[in-house]
Parts: sequence; structure tokens; C-alpha cells
Amino acid sequence: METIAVYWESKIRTYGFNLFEDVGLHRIDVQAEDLMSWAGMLQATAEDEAGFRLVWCQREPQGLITFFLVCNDAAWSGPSPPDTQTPAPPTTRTPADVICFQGPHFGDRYGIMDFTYQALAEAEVPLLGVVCSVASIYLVMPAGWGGKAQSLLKAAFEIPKSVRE
Amino acid sequence: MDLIQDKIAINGLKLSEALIPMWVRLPRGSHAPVSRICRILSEIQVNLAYMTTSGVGSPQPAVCCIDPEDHPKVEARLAQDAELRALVTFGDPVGLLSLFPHRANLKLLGVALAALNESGVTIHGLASSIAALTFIVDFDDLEKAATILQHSMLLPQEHQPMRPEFKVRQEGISR
Repeated sequence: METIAVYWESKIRTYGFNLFEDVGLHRIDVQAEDLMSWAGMLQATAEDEAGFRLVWCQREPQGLITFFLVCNDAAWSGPSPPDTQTPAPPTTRTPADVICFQGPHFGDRYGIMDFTYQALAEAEVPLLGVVCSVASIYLVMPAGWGGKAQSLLKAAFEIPKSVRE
Repeated sequence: MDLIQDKIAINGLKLSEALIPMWVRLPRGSHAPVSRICRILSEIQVNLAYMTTSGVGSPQPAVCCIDPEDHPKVEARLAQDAELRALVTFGDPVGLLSLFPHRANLKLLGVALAALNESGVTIHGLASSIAALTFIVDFDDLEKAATILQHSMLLPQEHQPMRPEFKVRQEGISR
């Protein structure tokens, strides 16, 4: 594949940081054979529910699929089985803050996540999850840590004046 | 259970090139190994096309995807750090299938999961971004998975999945 763009910047730029405070981080453990049931519960979600801030999942070789859903509590409070015969998958909720940011060609360039880890290292910000997908980075941390983490990131990254305004 | 019969409208699908998955085992509550991996990848100028980590409940490995062209130099660099190398497992080629926009829609997530699972496509992972919902599937299943989602969603007429046409190469960053 041809390389037609070469990128360089003296300091990594972002389009700014979005902080979502005190949201629910739900961990839902789903056995592979129960995936259709879980998918059905998601499809049956009421129309007026607002949906997720972030979702990711990982499959383990043994077949367990773990979903992480970040939602406002008013939007989604946990799996709703359609009847009493269908068990809800094991779910835990952790109060969390989430920071989301993106920048030019994030996803195509090396070093962005390393730069992010270094920025947060000073305050030893505990991370409950990290998601880098397409051009977005999400950092999930225990509730109460978001403001501190955002300050560190703002100091490390460059936010162009045109974006700040 | 009554499932949604009406198709959900989306604007498009995007497929990646083949990628090599890396699983990095993490001790409970620690991101240190994946932070070290990110430092190493940065030093040898290797991009992460995708990454998820989780630190809630029982420990789970971080999932990272790299370009197959970079695989040999990542292996070579990790060979210099036996402790870290022992935490890393490489897998067979995977592909990323992104649909957009997801509109934070839980129904859409359910429809896509059901359609792929019903057709026998193994979903190794998924992650949302601001607009897209991206699935990791075996690279051999990528085209099939795209066809399944095309049939499960309402797409614009004449829509064809987007495929990568060029790479961005980064010269360097300063700290």
C-alpha cells in the first residue's frame, strides 16, 4: 500500500478533551453460548433509553466474553431479561469518570498512547479501562479522578487555539 | 423474545487491512505491562491500530493490533525483555470491521452481535469510538462479516464498504 501522507508535529495535538463524570461502568460476563440471549436483551432496549457513552468487549480463549458498557445511570441500569426463565448475565457496576479525545490521524500514528500514559504517570492515575479505536482514545478511571487526569492531559497535549475558541 | 424486525439505518462500513493481534496479560489492577509495551512500540515507531484494556474485576489481557509488517521488529524488541515477552501472546491475522455511525444505540449493538454470531463469525473484541463501532474478527471472515452487516443494516443505495487506500507515516514526535 502506498504511503502518501507524512506527519510530523512538535507536540501532539488534539481537538480537546471531553470529560464525563460519575457515569456507570458496567462489566457484563457473557458465556459464548449465551451471546444470542445477551444480544436479544440489547435489542429489546426501550426506544427512549439514551444508550452508551462507550462500549468494548474482549473474548477469552475459554469462551467467556466480557462486555464493558459505560452509560449514564438514567440511560441504562443493567441487563433486563425478557422473562423469569432467562437469567441476567453477571454484572457489576463501578462509578467512573471517562475522558474522550481525538486528534489528527490518531489511529494511524505511533506514540500517542505512550504519550498519554506518560502524561498520567505523574499523578499515578488509576485506569479502569483504555480504548483506542479508529481516531478516538477513551480513558476510564474511578469516579473523582477525571478532573485531575484532564488537567494533566491538557498540560501535555497541544489544543490548537482555533479549537479552544 | 421478540427481536427488532426493522433494520437500523447506518451510513457505512469500513474494513481494515490484516492486523496481528497481541494479548498482553495484566496483573490485577495494573496497567504497567501495557504501558511498557506502548513505550516500546513508540521507541520502535510502531502504531497501534486498536487497543483495549480493562481493570475491573478479574484480570483480562489487553488487546492490541499492529501492522503485520511491524510484527518482526516487535518480536525482536520484545526478545530483549524476557519478563515482558512472557506476558505477550501473538495471534493469527484479524481484521477490523467498523460500522458508522453507532449513535450510541444499544439496539444497533445487539443487532450486529446477533447477526455476526448467528452466522458463525467469531467476535474477538469490539470497541466504540466517537462515531464508529468496530469489531475484531478473523481476517479470513472479514468480507463475510461485512456482507452480514450489509444485510442486517439499512445502508445507502449503492453503498460499498470502504477499504484502506493509503497509510500515514509519522516522522517523529517530541516530548
